[in-house]
Amino acid sequence: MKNTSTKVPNKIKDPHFLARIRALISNEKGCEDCEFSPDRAKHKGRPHDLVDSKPVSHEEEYADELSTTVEVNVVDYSRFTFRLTSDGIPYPFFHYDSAGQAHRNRLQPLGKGDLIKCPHFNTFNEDGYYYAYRTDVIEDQEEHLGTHDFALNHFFIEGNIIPEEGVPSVKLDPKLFTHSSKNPVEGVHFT
Amino acid sequence: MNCQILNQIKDAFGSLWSCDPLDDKSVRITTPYASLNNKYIDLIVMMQGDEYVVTDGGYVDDAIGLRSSKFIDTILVPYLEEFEIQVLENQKKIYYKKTADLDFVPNCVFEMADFARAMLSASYIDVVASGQDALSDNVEEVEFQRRAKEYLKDSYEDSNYALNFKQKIGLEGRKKKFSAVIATPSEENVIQFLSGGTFYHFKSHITNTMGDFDLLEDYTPLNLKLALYDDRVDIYKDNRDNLHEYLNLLRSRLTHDPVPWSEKDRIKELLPI
Repeated sequence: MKNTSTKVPNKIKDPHFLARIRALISNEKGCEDCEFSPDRAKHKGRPHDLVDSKPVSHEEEYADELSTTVEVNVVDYSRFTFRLTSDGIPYPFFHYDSAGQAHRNRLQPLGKGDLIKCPHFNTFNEDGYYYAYRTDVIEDQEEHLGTHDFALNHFFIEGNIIPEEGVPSVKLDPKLFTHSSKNPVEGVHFT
Repeated sequence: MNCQILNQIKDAFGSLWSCDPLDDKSVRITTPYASLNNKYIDLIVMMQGDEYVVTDGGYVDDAIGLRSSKFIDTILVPYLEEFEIQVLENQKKIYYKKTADLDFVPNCVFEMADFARAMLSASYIDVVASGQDALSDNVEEVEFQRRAKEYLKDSYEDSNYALNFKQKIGLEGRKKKFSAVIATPSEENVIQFLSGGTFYHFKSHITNTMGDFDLLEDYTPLNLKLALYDDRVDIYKDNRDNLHEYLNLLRSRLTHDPVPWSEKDRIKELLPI
């Protein structure tokens, strides 16, 4: 795996490519095994984020192989990301961030709704622009979204992924994950 | 127009500042500065004894930690030196500035925010780190590779040809990788996919392909040498004449004229199923 960060374009210019991405999100998809146990390091040598991916099935309108990836931070397990990815699309095109920096929606007036705090979804709008948004569930039930299973279910519903059996869940090995305080530098001494 | 407009601008920028408490000694401040990949920069301001510490909390290292040493030397280090930003290791690198003087806390925020934004933006651009990888990292190229691959798979999957993608062929020790190799037991036919996110990349792909075919000049199993180029993409349309100069040069290394995507079925005439 290349050690380069994935560059998500700010705008998808090819309308066919955009249509394909939006269809992959809005079409109904299935998930046979939706129990995620993140235990694989996202980047070799930097074990802060552990991931697990499961395949997502969909109608053969497009040849993409889809997966859902769950990524959880080991130092603070309240920081996690869910992504829908395709082998044919070189960047995440639909994902949910539980924590992290606020996103800037460039097309909104500065200071008037352009700053979208976490948790939020990221995807491409009908004009191809990459943007972040918060759902009603996020606005009204933010405290429940701290629970991985609740958040994952919301991600599945928003992403039109239907579990074939059981309920989507995230199983964290307590040996691997801790929940530190919200302050990532708690206890650090600055010399 | 008069300077009243400044109020509009100041109000907009001003409303982007926000603060959330983290614990009894620290707060998280969201600044109105966003990186090129649209992340608003936030910083942690905390008290340590009599001093104020302004820090990124470690996320800058998350963004740039895997960059090359060239990136570190040319982009990161000058910022650290100019702004006298300190760094400590705590599972990852934590960047910070400290002051005992409340009057200088805004300076620390100014400089740490500028630093964080610059690092995130530069990392996103990935100019220095990607090097050769930049040639294949572009969306339009990846997408064209995929389209072309699917087209060949659909056309030749049930045929008697062996289809291989990104395959190296040639004499031992002098093999070169090509986009697609369509083979029979006695010969290999090559189709090279040509595209690019910028004129430079498109042209480089063409010239690299020329060199690759030159290296295979005395490789006898090689039969057809074809090129399939993306004439749908904006870069091609905007640089048509220039690119055709290079495609004409490439022609001397091929067995047939380069094939535009819009006439891709010509391949099926040259390589009948």
